Amino acid sequence: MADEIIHQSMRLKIMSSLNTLTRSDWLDFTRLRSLLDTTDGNLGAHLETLAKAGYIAIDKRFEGKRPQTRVRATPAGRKAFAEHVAYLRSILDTAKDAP
Amino acid sequence: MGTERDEASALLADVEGIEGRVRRILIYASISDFLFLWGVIWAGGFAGNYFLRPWADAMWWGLEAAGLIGTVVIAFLHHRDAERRSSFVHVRAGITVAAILGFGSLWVALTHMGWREQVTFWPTLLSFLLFLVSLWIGRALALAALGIFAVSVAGYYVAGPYLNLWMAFATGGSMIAGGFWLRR
Repeated sequence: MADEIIHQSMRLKIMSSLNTLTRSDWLDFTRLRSLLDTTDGNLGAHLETLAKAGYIAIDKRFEGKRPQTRVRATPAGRKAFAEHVAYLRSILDTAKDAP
Repeated sequence: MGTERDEASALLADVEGIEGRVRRILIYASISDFLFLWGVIWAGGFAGNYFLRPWADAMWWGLEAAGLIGTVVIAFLHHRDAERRSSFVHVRAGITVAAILGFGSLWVALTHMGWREQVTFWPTLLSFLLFLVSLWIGRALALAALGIFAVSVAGYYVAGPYLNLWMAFATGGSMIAGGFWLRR
């Protein structure tokens, strides 16, 4: 079953990045932005959507005097991502098996 | 069906691409920690050779012991963090480094290498190893390795009586700079 929230290309990339890290690791917003080659506004909007779905946690804090935003995947997000990737693979497998 | 399959294929390719980039960042972070550690030890040791000659031997024993302990601690921390990666990867990495150090030590002994050659040999061997690893990982590591290699070899030819200082500041500095370069 497709997960409509994760299915969107940028959100799938965000979840791929966070899912590759360990469960306790956070990814810095600026590092994620350069990794995905996108803008602050675009990334921020997609992160909000994922956070509302409970797929990621967003932590805003100060490191010294500098504000820092970091994100990580929640267990629910990891599960949803794994299921969605399995769904995508099943589409390819079905197409391969078709006569 | 064809369109759905094409879209699924493109999305899965995106997932694999991003996962590869994140893994590369994690590997670079591990390597940079080792470069910071050994860059500082290298810089401290050779600065000691130049400025504190009578105590240099004792200082090197202490620095090398600290380096080995630091190496084990860094390896342990990264191993603990990499809960989803195979622990065999770390065992293989450890065996590779031990084999290279053993190989280097053997040829230092067999060729009765002089002091100048030895102090140039070790950072070039390290950068050679990093360059080989970079062929599987990425260009940034290759550039860091080539930088350390070039600075070390240049020192052998141009530093003359100041080779200790060169090794401390240029080679040690290039290792630390390499660590920052990988984390940029």
